[in-house]
Amino acid sequence: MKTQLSHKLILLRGNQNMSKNARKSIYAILSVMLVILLAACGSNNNASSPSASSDAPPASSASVEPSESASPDAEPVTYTLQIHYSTNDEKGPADWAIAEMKKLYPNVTFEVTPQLNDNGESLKARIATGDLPDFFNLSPQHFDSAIQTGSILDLTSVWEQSDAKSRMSQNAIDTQLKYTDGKIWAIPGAGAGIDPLYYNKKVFADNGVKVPTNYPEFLEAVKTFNSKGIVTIPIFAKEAWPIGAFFDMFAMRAHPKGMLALSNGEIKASDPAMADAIHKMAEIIKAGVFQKGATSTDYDTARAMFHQGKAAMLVNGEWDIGEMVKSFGDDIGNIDFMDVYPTTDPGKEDLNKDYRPGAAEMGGIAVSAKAKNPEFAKQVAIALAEKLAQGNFVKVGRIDSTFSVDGLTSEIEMPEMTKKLLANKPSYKVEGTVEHSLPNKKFATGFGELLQKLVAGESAEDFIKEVDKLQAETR
Amino acid sequence: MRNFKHNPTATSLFVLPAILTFSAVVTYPLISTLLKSFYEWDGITEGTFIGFDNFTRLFRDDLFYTSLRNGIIFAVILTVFQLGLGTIMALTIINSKTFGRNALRRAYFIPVVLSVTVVCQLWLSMYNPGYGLFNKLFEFAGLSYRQDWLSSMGVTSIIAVTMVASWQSMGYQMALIYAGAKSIPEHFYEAAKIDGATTLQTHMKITIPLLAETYKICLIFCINAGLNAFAHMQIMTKGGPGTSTYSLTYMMTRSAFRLDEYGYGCAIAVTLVLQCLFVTLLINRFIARERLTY
Repeated sequence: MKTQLSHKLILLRGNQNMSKNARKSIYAILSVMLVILLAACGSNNNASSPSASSDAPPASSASVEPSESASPDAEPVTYTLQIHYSTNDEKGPADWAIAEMKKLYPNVTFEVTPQLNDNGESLKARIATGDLPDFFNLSPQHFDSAIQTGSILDLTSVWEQSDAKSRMSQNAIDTQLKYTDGKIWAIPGAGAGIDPLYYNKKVFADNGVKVPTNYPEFLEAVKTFNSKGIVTIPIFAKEAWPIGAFFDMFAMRAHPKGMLALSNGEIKASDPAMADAIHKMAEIIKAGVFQKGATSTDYDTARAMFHQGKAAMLVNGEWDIGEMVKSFGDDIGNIDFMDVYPTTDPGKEDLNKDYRPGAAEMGGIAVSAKAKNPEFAKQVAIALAEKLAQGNFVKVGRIDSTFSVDGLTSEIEMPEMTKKLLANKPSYKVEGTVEHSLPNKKFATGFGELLQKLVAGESAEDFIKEVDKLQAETR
Repeated sequence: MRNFKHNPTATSLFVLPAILTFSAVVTYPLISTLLKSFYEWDGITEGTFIGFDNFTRLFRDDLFYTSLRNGIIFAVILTVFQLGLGTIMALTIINSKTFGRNALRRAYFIPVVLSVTVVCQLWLSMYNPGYGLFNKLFEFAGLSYRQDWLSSMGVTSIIAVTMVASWQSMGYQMALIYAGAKSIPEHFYEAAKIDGATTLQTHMKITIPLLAETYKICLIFCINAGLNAFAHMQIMTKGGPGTSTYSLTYMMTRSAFRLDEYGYGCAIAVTLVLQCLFVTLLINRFIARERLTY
């Protein structure tokens, strides 16, 4: 009995000891987990709170002293680089630029991550959290938030000392380099680009349609193509910007800045000239200039219709010329772009004819405030921006580089359209901007939605009323 | 084990990590969103306290009522299709006389496991006004009727988008109803058979009434899914044409990510949460309050 009792007592004490040991272990594990959790929350809070950040220099700080690591012979450094890197047209120029950078800076390695085509939403989130790649493409709509949070470095002083500025076009220096505060926050690689109205001569010829030079001819062409089941312009109206480009083809006849003038309040939609342009656009939309289901058509689907020779015209950027050369092959001679947009009454074809939809956007390669060796990183960024711009010329034949391409040869034989663009560009005037880059964000968002409604069949009168109302509300 | 169950300290300690994680991931963001809804906030700087101005502005915004209308349409159609067709499908496969019911059960569930992107791309092809399946069926049937399914500024576009969501999630509701029906004791059916009830009468008088609890859960899922709809609009129409397929969730992302009005977006989020809570409370209050027993 006593033995049993003591045995039980021993067991009980043993259990109690085990239970105490178990509790101690549990306490220890939980404490560690709590510490990790709190540390993680704490570091996230620091990153998202600009005033608490000790790593990012204030946005208006002057340059720091040149770093010893500015020398190319310095120790190896790896920088993260986020750029467009998804299609062959994007990878080719990027890989070329990185190879060229290796010659200039042998100690620098780039880790490339593809930039998402999400209207910059993920980049905005990263600006807010302070988790930016070392080098990345800064878009116009992100300037304010990036500067306010101190997330990017001021490149002004390094640019002034750099010899790259002698190789940048004067137009880019004058219009795309310095932000409204007079400082340089990003180095632009792409200069002013226009949105041509491409057309397929063969489709016109095969269907006996005259290539239009004014609005009545354009309307007639649309009606003829419709009667034969041919789409005149396949448009990817799921996005607002191509509709905005088409809108500007009409609106710029009323005001050189087109929808930018509406955004700035320089003209109202109900003003006679603008109202006339809007009525023409609404009429031709009702006549069936676009394919059915345009507002749910994406970029690739619409583009494919033209590239496969199934549509007569296309609204797109200059960048598509290279792809057209590949798609049409020997038949590329059938493709051209309009010298004059056919959007006016007869006899008024020359009215504001040189004003083109498109943009000379600010933005380009920016440097994260957390990049290693900031002064060296700024030099690298300037060189990188130049090489990326030149890479676009060498690998895909783009001619909108802000930097000189003298001494470089494009691997793409310059298409006739590109030669024509080069020849005509000095006469083109780009005073507007693309829909998503309109400076008044509230107007831009609302206007994009109204443009979609116009494409979906809204009347011109309703559109004019709504644009006037939007303009008044967002001024 | 007895020591464990009667040891509240140990119990609390074991659930503490889960509570902490839940608090960090759910409770903290909820409270933070509620607080920020009273601010004019751009998502980056501290923001300015403006009281209820965001809510006042919201209730005067035409887009709010468009989004609310679309949310209600979405919820109603989801409920009718998913509960209605889900019930029919569940009762079909629960019937032992149905040929190939195992294969049918798997087939009905396939859309649920497909990615929403795949489903939307599939339906975008089917809805294409030029070469899509539906318009081609009308053409094949000799009808002149054609529909531009996703380009209507009325309710056609939102209904078209809702049908996609209904199709995709129908299998999920079917699975819930099937599981509920399987748990009904067999002796009810035996008694009904003895009394000479037909299959339809059996389901109407026994199966469906005893599934009340299950239907309550399914109804909560359907209505909240409808009010919260986002993915299908984003992929198929981007809220367009114009704003005709906006939902409150889409309106929230527009405010936050396109207009940088995070405070206003938070106010929309709070309104949406309150809406879902209100609907859930209503359903709990008035539907299947008492457990039915025979």
